Amino acid sequence: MLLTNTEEIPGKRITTCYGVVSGSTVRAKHAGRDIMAGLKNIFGGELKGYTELLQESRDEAIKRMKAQARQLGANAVVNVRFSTSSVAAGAAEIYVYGTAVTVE
Amino acid sequence: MHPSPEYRPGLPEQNDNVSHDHPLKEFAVLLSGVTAFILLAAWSLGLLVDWAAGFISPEMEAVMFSSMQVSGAAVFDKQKDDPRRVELQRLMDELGRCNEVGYPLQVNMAPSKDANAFAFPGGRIVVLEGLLDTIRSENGLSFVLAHEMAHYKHRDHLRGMGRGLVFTALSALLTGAGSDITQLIAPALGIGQARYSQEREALADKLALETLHCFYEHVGGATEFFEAMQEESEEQGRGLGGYFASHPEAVQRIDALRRLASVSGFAERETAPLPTVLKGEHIGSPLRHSK
Repeated sequence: MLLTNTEEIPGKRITTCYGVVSGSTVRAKHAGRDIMAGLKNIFGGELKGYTELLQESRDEAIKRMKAQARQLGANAVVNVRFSTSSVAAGAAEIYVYGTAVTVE
Repeated sequence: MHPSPEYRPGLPEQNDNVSHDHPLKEFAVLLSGVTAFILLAAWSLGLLVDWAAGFISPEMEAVMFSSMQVSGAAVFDKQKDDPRRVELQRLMDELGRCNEVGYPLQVNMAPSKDANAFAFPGGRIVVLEGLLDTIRSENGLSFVLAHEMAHYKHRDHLRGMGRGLVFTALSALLTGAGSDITQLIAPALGIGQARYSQEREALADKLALETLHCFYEHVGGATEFFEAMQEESEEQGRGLGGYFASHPEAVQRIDALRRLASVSGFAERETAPLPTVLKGEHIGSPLRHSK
C-alpha cells in the first residue's frame, strides 16, 4: 500500500479513484506515564511518554486507513493529511485521511 | 494519451475505526485489572509497612507522635491522680513484668458507655468506663489490658496507621482523591484490611493469654470480656458482618482462646474480684464532667 501526501505518485498512473478513506484513534497513557510526565513538567524537557503515545497513535490510525483502502480495492492512498484534537484530559485523537486510488 | 481515471466511490464494509468489543466486556477487564493491581500493590506495600514498623523504636515513636494529641488530652491530665486510673496503671505496670513490652505505657480512662479499650500511638492506652461496668473480675480486666499491651509489643498500632495511610495514598494517586473508581474498589481493600486486622487481634489474644498465665498462674477470666460482648450483641458481627469486622467474632475468639489454653496446658481457676476502687457507678463522676 503506497501512501503519499501529494496528488500524484511519480512514475505511477492513477487508474481508479475510490474516494476518501480515514483512520482515527483516541489514546491515553497509563497512570505511571502521566505521573512521569507530571514530574517532567517540573524540570522541563521532552515528555517522552507522550511522544511515544502520539507516534503509536499515528501508526494505528495509518493502519486503519490502509485497512479501509484495502477493503475498497485500492493499492495506494494519495493526498494523505493528519489532524489531531484533544478529546479529554490526557487523551488525544489522531485522525488521518486521504484518497484511496489504484495506481499502475 | 491515457484515459482519465475511473471514479468508483465506495464505503468499507467494516469500519476499523470503531471498536467491535462489547463495552461491558472491556469494563470488566479494566476493572478486574485495576483491582488486581491495587490489591497486589496494597499487599506488597502492607508488607513494607510491617517491615518498617519493626525499625521504629519506642523512643522514635514518642518523638514522632509527641505533637499528636489524643482527643480529650486535657481530661487525661486532670485524671492523673484519679484512684481508678492509678489502680489501672498499677495493674498494667505489674502485667508489664510478664510481657516485656518495652514501652513506657500510660493508661487513661474515657467517659463512654461502650466496653472497650484502645492503644494509641505514643504509648497511651485508653480504657472506656463501660469496660469497668462489663468486666466482673481483675483477671478479665488484666486480659483486656494485656491484649492492648500486646498490640504495642507487635507494633500493631503503627502497622494499622501505616497501612491506612498507604492505602489512602495509593487509591488517591491512581484514581484521584474521592473518585468514583476509588469508591468502587474500596470494599475489596476493606476486606483485605479486616482480615489482616483479625490476624493481628488473634496474635494479641495469644500473647494476652500467655501474659495472664504468667501473672496469675492460670487463665481464668480470659474469655470474660468476649462472653459479655456475646451476650450483649447476639446478632452483631455474625455471618458476612463478621468477615468485614476488624475484630474476630466473640464466639470465634472464645473458642480460639480455649483451644490455645488447652494446647498450652494452661489451667483455668477461680478469678479474683475486680478491685473495689474500680467498681461502681461512674455516671456523675468527676471524670465525666471534666472540661
